[in-house]
Amino acid sequence: MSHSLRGHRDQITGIRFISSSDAQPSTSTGPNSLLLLTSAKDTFLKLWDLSTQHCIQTVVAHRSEIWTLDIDPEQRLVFTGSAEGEMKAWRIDHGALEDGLKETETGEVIIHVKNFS
Amino acid sequence: MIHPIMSLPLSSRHRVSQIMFHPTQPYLAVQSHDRSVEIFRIRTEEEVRKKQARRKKRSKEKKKKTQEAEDQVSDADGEDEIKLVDLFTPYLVVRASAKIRSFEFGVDDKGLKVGTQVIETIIYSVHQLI
Repeated sequence: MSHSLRGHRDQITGIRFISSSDAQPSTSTGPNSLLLLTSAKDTFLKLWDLSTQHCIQTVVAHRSEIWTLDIDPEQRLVFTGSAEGEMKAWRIDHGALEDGLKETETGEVIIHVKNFS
Repeated sequence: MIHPIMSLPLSSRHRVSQIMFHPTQPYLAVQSHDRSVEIFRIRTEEEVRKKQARRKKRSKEKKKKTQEAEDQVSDADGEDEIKLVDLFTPYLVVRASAKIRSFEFGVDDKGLKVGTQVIETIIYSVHQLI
């Protein structure tokens, strides 16, 4: 059975699974959450919760198309590369994912990233 | 949640076509839409701290020589912040004779394979990438 995750407005250039294993065994009894991180030529990085098929975060990652995405083997860092030759590093906050993001009315959290050094 | 850290400088100004972490070794490869793949070595925090400590020690020694022995307020006990740019250090750049279309880390950690536009597959042996 397949599902469509709608949201990106242009070709998708990178897809990575993120497993958010429970860091605090005493609090959660649910299964490990499986998330998906995608990059696309629409300049967005999107984080998807596969259990609900919702996009839970959108980041305006670059000024131009994102061409590539990778996650480090320990799943702590994300690196993205753009059409303009920019490479950016991002941090995966598993703690926040564990607490469950409070979705906005539209069902997603949007972060607009302006210039950062 | 994904949080921004910083932008990292690259040796090339071309489009970044592919970023790939080595699956087992502390290396990151960045392919640009030109003839190069830049490889970064990922340092451990311990290594970066040691280097910072050495640098501080050296600059203190230099100060002692050039200045009167004034009472210098010693550095705060708090360590310098470790920046991502300190952890990811440029290691080498693989340059091919034509535009690189794809690359892959070799099996058993032997080198880096690069596919160029001339339909050659060239195996670059990256020293110490073993």
